[in-house]
Amino acid sequence: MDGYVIMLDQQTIISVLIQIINTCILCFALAKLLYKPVTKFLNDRKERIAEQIDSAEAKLSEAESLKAEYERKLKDIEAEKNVILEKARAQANQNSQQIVAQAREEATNIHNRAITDIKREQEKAKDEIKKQIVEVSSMVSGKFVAAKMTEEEHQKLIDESISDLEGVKWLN
Amino acid sequence: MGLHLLEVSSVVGHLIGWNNNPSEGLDVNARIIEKLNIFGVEVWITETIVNTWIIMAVLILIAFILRLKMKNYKYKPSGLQNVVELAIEYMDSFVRGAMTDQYAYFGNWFFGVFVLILVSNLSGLLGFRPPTADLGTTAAITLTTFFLIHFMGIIKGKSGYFKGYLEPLPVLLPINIISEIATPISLSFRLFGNILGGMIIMSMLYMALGNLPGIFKIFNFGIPAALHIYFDIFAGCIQTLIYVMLSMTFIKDKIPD
Repeated sequence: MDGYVIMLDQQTIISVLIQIINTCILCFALAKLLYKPVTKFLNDRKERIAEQIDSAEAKLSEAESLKAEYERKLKDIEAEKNVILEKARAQANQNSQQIVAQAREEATNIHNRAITDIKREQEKAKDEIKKQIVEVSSMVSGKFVAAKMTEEEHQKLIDESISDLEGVKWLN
Repeated sequence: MGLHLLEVSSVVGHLIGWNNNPSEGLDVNARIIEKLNIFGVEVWITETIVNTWIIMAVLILIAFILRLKMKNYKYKPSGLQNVVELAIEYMDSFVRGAMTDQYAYFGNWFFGVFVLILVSNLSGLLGFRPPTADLGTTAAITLTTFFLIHFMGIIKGKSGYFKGYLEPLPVLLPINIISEIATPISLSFRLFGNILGGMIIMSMLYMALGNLPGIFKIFNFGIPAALHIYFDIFAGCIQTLIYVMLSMTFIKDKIPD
């Protein structure tokens, strides 16, 4: 069988042409089957990863700002709580003092009223007794008069009774 | 001494195959498998072309299987997808590094070229005659690159492309033209020469080892493997890298940023 290592003739040109066609077919097939789809896929993935990193960074900064906001709010709430507690304590203090004062006042009122009531009852009782003594004495004296009494004796008796009454210390 | 030199030169003559006679010396020839006659033109289907077809078939089949296996790409890669992504991403960043992101689409072309040259270079390990050890293959790939260099130069560079030939001095026009023509020649012959050279040395080694007498046959162990690592794997990978890198640089040189 014939062979060659290097030849520079018409057959070289023909084999070069055949090999150009072969190379083009191979390159086309490999690009179509492997290179293009895989590089496209790799690029897509690259973009997707970049997107994810970006969004993760955005989310992180958002979360950090939210955290700061919440911390600030918590601090505000703490301060507000203290203010409210302080106010409530002051209010309660004031209320209790008011209540005590009111109670004391009421107690004084009740005491005073009771004293006036007692006084009034005393007066009333005194009057009643006086009235009854007068009645009783006039009844007794009436009986005496009916029995045996002169005008003089009658007058004398009344005077004596009245002076006696005035001489006695009643309830005072 | 003179006789000795003559013998050496005759051995080299055998090696390079000037005297196309397989029965003598080393056989590093690319065989002609079939001589077709297409529309009155004689077309030789050589070992190189057949090997290229085999490599193409295997590569396209692998690509097809990979494509089917990864029908549903996963967002989180696993197993096979990792390997494929690694290879493609390496090529993509290679192109982007040499030609900037703007021209990343050249990866579609250079991925095929890279894989074809690499697998061709490595096919020597499986006993194939590497298609890249034939000027026909390297010249073909280089001509497409040459076309890309000047096509992209005219499309992207516009008038700057033609002005480039008159720089730094208009007097240097012929030298600039020569250097443009030298580019594809140096590209194709570099790859061709390196792979053919490795192949010749390996053939010589096997011939020498095969003729060792008695106990010395022990050298058959290890030595070929070590040299295969150097000539096929190391040189094959390096030459692929150099070829693709230089091609990209030449194209990049002609297009403005």
